[in-house]
Amino acid sequence: MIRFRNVSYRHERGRRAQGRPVLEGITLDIPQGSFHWLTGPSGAGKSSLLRLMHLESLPCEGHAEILGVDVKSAKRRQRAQLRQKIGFIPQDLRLLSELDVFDNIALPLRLAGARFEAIESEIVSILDWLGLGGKKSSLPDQLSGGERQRVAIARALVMRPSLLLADEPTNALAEEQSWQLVDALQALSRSGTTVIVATHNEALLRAVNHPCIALKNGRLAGVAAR
Amino acid sequence: MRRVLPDGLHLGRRDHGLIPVIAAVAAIAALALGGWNAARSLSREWENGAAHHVTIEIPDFTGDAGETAKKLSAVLQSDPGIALVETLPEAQIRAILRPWLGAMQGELSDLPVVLAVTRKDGAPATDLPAILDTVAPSAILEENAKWGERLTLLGHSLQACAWLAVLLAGFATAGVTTLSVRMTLIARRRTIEILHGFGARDGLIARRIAWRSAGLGLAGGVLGTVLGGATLAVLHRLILPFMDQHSIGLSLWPQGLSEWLSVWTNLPQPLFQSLACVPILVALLSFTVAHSTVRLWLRRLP
Repeated sequence: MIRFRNVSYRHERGRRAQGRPVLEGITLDIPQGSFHWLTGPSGAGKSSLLRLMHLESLPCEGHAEILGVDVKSAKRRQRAQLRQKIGFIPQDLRLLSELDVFDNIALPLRLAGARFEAIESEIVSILDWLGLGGKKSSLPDQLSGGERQRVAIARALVMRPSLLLADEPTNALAEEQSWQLVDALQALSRSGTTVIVATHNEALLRAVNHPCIALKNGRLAGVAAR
Repeated sequence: MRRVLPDGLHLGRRDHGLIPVIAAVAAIAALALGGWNAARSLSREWENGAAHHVTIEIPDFTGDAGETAKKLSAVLQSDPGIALVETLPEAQIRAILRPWLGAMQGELSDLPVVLAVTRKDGAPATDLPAILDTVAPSAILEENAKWGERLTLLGHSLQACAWLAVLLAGFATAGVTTLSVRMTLIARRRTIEILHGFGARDGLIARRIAWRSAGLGLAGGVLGTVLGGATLAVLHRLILPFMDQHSIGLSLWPQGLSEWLSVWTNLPQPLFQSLACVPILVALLSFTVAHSTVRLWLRRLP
């Protein structure tokens, strides 16, 4: 469950938030296990909203509750625990260049205290499913854009998150892989994970009917059930 | 099959540059500890020596110095505050005077009689000037205690200087470690932000970097202590003949493995123990400084 009440966010310079609000007066209710598209033109604040939901930034104003936790009043330890329940596929992918594909995907599990033996088969099966079976020892720099994107997707999925946020996850994927990913995300949503996907892909938006959060100039333009 | 999953916070080649810097600081700390140990021993020796030893010189103007010395010696030996009265042999007095009088001293017949008096520890102080006034009015009293206070102060000052040097070495270690950790944080900012995004707790990230710093600190500390300790061991061998009559014939450099080993084992126990503590303290300091630096830096992330 995500509950935003009149949430505003400005970029920080130093320790103070300054300038024009990137997000302003966002009020949202996203039930657990739902699938939402997040749309809007470039600069509308989609990535900033996802970053707020991923707790990479905190709201400057308003009340934000994610998976039942008030993010502003939560202690750092609580926020860290909350982040472990959130899977994020960022636009810049954030793969560690010195770790191979396997280790990049294992990273969130390693931080949760998992041992190699316990997660090896799970990671291998997700790599096979994403067509990366032969690349598990490759470094990110040795992969194509689409392959890197799939590694970031695998890393977010392997956590079995309660909330999955994806920022343009189909950007570098072939059409068939895009549909495959959307199918997987829908299946994840059906199993109880809240899924929010920011996209420009009109074909996906038309073909897959889910509520759509539309942003414009940092404000909520509407939440449309499609 | 791999057993450990990496997290991107492993040591880089650049990080090893910290070891020689810490080693240099640890060597300085080891030398300072050596200085403190020497100052403490000297201070104790001065305090004990100056407080307890008195020299009485009886000039032989009238040829009865020997008789007066015997009378005085008897009086002093019966005093409850005196532990020992020794008459310096004539040969020893001549040996002492040789540098000043050269060949002439052989011709001197009216050498003074010198009594070395040791006061009893803890007994009430004997009023030596009053005894001398009665038994040997011409005697000159060399009361070493008058130097005692000054020597004690000097000894304590030397010890304080040595501790100050150790403290400065500690500050330098903390400063160098902070700098190194901040460079690590800048170099691995992206990695740390990613780990933070996956829900890594501040404590986990701080501990990972702090353990690395502690490891580097320990390596540098061991290296520096060995270097500083070796220098101290050589210095100790050089001054041994001045401290111990049996070591007068000792060669400048150790001969054979056993003698090399004895150079280390001959170091005074307190110094040896304090040197052994240096690498551990450096590692502890590195861990603490690195841990708090990382924790403080992580505060900028939400």
